[in-house]
Amino acid sequence: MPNAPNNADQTQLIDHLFRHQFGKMVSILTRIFGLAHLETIEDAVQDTFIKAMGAWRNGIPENPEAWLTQAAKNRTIDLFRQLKSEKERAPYFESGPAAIAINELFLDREIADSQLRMIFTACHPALDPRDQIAFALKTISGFSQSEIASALLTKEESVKKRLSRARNMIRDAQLAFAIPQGNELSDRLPRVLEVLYLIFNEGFHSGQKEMLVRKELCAEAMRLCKMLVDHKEVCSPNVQALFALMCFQAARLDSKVNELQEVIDLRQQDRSLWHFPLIVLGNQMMFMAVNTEEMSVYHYEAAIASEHLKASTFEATDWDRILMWYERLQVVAPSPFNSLNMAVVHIQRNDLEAAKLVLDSVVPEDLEQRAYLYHGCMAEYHRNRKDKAEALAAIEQAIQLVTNEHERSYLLLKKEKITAMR
Amino acid sequence: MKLEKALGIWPGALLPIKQNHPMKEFMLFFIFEDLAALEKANQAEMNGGNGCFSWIEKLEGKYVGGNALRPEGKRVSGKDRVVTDRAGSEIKEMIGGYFLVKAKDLEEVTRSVQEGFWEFDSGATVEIREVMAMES
Amino acid sequence: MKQFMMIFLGADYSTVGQSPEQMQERMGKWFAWGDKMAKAGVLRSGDALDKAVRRVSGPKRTVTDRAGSEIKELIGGYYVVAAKDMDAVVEIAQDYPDYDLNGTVEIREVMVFDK
Repeated sequence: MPNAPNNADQTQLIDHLFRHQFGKMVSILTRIFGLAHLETIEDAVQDTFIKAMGAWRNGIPENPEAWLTQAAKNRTIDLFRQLKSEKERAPYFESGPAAIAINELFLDREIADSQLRMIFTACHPALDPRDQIAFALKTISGFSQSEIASALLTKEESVKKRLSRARNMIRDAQLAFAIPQGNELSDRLPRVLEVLYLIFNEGFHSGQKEMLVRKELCAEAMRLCKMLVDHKEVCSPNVQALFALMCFQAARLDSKVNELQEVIDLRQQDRSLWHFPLIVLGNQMMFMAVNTEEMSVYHYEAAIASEHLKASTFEATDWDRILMWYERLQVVAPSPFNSLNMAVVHIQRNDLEAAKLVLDSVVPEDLEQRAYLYHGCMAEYHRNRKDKAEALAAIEQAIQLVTNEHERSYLLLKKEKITAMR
Repeated sequence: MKLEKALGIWPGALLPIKQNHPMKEFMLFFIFEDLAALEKANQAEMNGGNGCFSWIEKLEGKYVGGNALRPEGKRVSGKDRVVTDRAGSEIKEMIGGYFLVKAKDLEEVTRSVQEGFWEFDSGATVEIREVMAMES
Repeated sequence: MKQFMMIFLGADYSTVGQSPEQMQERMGKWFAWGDKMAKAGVLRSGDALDKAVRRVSGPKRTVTDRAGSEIKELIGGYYVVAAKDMDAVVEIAQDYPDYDLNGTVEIREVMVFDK
């Protein structure tokens, strides 16, 4: 009967160990037993954590990951044995040479390889885009349904449906559990990058969320992107550029949102809170990423982000250079949001005519629910021209259209400033 | 000789665990139908009943430890941590004590329980539970 | 000093869908509690128990096996601690991590026979 943990250090686990292990173990076991058995595998891994909670009552094993992986493997086999006696659908699992090969699958590089296979599975074109993110967050990142619902600001029921659809699609399409190669890889990679960027933006840009949730999403997107970076065949300048972009954005996260989960303007962000090591990492990655003929959206967005990071104050920002990047971005990926950003840059450069030209090219309806951004921008333009009446009219329109409470408060503050103009 | 010394169940006398023992550990909870049954059993042991001691002797090195528990107790329950007293004849299924033993497997410990527990004839129950350990 | 047993009832982990993150957090609370009691010098022993329940009962020594999920007040584990009195143990029991899962701590004093 062991006593309580006698070595206090032995009770500390790495942050998110269980969550990350979930993804690793599911990937490895899927490699062994096949995508068709994903649900059984996830159940086995869940059971393994419950077992750990009891078995580790009096201390942590020397190698927690190895313990968990071994236990998950055994549990999966148990579950298959049960399945086999109920219905003959379970895979036939034999010992001998196959067993030796399976042990090799538990080596680090093979674990990384298996996780990449799962990433490509999650982002397979056969799956609905919204289902892809939910599936990735569950299967690779180890979030629960309710955690995903909080992260995506949606209902748990909705997440449940997305996961179910994704699993069915994978089963029905009989997807191969593999990393695509050659042309297939270059066809499939863009979507993977999109999904990872979407996850990142859920943490960085999206509405009211606890700072903890934001950080977890950003960190998760970066963790997965790093897996792509670390794989020789999969890594490409676009992958590196995306990772650099994530580093640059994440560096600003602490200054971007205050304790009340309110978004703070770039102008007002406390630059001393920017995380220097991430900026350095981003720069290192960017240095490699520019070794390419064709720059991507990620290259230009990273360039813009890095320009902001270089400036010691908002006023010291090199707006001309930023404008150049926005113009190139507009060529590669034209969007009305981009145009608005360009207009704002023109205003900063005191080129109000250029700002108006750009604003006139924007159709507010193209911005859909975010049409208020156009009017907010117009208000800023008019304010800089000292047209108080026009500015007020524009900000009013923006306030009418905004739905988000935090954004509304922000616009009301702007209205106060305009009202105070002489 | 004092009874607790003979029984070796004074907590200070718990036998040390060999770290690398391949055997499993099992908790045996001695469950009585109600307070009356529990008190009757305790009385029997205090009056020189040999059941407990005999079994411990039979178990030899497989006996790790054990205790009898006083019938009265408290419970702290649920989200609001409500504290209640546990006493009285209405309580069914009272844990009267426990042994912690080693055994190769569930079958071995079951046999040991069937042969060793001294209150079956009065209707008591032993609940056998495997201890969750890192090696299992 | 007297000895008391804390018996943990209810709180079946497998019925409450917890995420890996939540489970790690919960386990952290168990470690913290164990450490706290160990540092205070009050912890004597304790274990978590596997869910499978076997009972041997009555004059016929009948054996029945039940899955943990079928049982209302499943014993999940125990700790034995040294304390002055019952109230002191109620205090110790405040750190039990599973109250939120409707878990219960039953506290019983270890009986000494010689008196």
